[in-house]
Amino acid sequence: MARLRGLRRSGQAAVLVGLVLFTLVIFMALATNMGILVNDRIRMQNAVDLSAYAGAYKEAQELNDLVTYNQDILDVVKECREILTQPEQGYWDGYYCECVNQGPIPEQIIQICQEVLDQVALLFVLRAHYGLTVSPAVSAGKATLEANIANLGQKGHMFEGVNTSASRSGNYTTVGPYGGQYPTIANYVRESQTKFNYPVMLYCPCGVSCCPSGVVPSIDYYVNSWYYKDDTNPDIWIASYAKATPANRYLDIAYSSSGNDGGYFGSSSDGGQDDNITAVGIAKPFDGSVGPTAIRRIFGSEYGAGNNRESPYYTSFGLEAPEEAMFANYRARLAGKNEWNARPADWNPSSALTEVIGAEATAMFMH
Amino acid sequence: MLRRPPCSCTEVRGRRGQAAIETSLSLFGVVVLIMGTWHLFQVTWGAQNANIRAREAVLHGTSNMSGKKASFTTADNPVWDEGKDNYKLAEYGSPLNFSASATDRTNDGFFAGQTITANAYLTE
Repeated sequence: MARLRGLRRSGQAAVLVGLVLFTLVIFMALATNMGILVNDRIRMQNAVDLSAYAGAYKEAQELNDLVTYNQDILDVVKECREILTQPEQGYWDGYYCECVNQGPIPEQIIQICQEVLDQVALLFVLRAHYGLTVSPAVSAGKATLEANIANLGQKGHMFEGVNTSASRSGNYTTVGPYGGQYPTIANYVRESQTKFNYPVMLYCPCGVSCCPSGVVPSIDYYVNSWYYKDDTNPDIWIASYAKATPANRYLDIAYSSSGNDGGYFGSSSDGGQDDNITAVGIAKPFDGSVGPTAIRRIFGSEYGAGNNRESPYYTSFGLEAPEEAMFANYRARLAGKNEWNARPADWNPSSALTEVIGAEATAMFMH
Repeated sequence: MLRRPPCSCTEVRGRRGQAAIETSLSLFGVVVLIMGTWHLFQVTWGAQNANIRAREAVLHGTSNMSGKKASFTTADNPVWDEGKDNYKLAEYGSPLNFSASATDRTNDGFFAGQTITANAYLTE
């Protein structure tokens, strides 16, 4: 009887050990997969952050060069003003009511100045062209992404094909000095109110009183000059997006070499969004200013902020040349997706993220 | 009143020590499981440390980082000015080529300690 009982029990421990081992292996695989998932997610977030930063850094470099083109325009303006205000040029000899035939009339000088300004302005617009500013940034971003997660099989982009993205060609345009719209890194507007106010002898026939005593006669001329960004939106930003499946997995029972596999945890594969991990990084140039950005012009009180400077107040009006508003001081920094949400009408990162990964998934990316 | 019949002495003698063996085996398994989980945690933690430190070294330099187990190397042209505690000016024409490496190491324990290395790159 005892022998029969022993026979029935033989193998019981083996079954038990087998079950325990199986459970153990499943849990080990789950834990290992979790470790891989966390590690890959961090690597991917680092990669997109660095990728976006590389793009923004490249944009900052291009913007710093672009500032010099605007400064060239400013130099032409200053030179013209200097010529026009020199007494020895013959426009003004210091006598208020002396009706003499003056030298080359100032309008001719101004016309020449305007032509030169237009030529230099065209160089600015060409330099701000998408192909010379955003394209290098996109390339740098992609190269950095590739360098950091080369083995993750990532599918990444820099939002350059996304309708609501600032890095999409054609979303921002600038009108050239001779007409035509150019795709540029931002919407730049040409200043049309640069004033040439200089002492000049009006044409006045002899014998006719033309010059009030003690008042220097002058004429105001307005020319087109430099470029500035005429909005509040610090819209020069660039984002990086990556989607990947892990390089190594354990017990991925739904794995398929076609890529339509089970993602990190197997079983529920449908090849959709849930099978991948995604990451988004956003960065922007900051601390510089291409031109004297005036964001609000409410008659006499002009104020505002441009290009993310803390308290810029530069306007494009007035006689003074705005050297202090053309800063080739661009740097790059990481940015948040909600930095521009106050202006939903503009291209902003959160809209671009929603377009790419949907509103619900966007909520995951809070920094 | 029903009473369970007393078992034979032979049967009792055969089972003696079984519980102790099962307990010790189970305990061993539990200990291995706990140690394995701990080690896995350490590896994951170390990998996170290394990756994040490498990325921070690239973006923000190494001046604010510490940790006796971690080490860093940086090379080329950093984008962070540690003296000014700010990002460097993006000078037009200067190449964007910068990398950093960070390592972390798990403790020696039930399993041998492991060194985890992570690299981060900025390039164009």
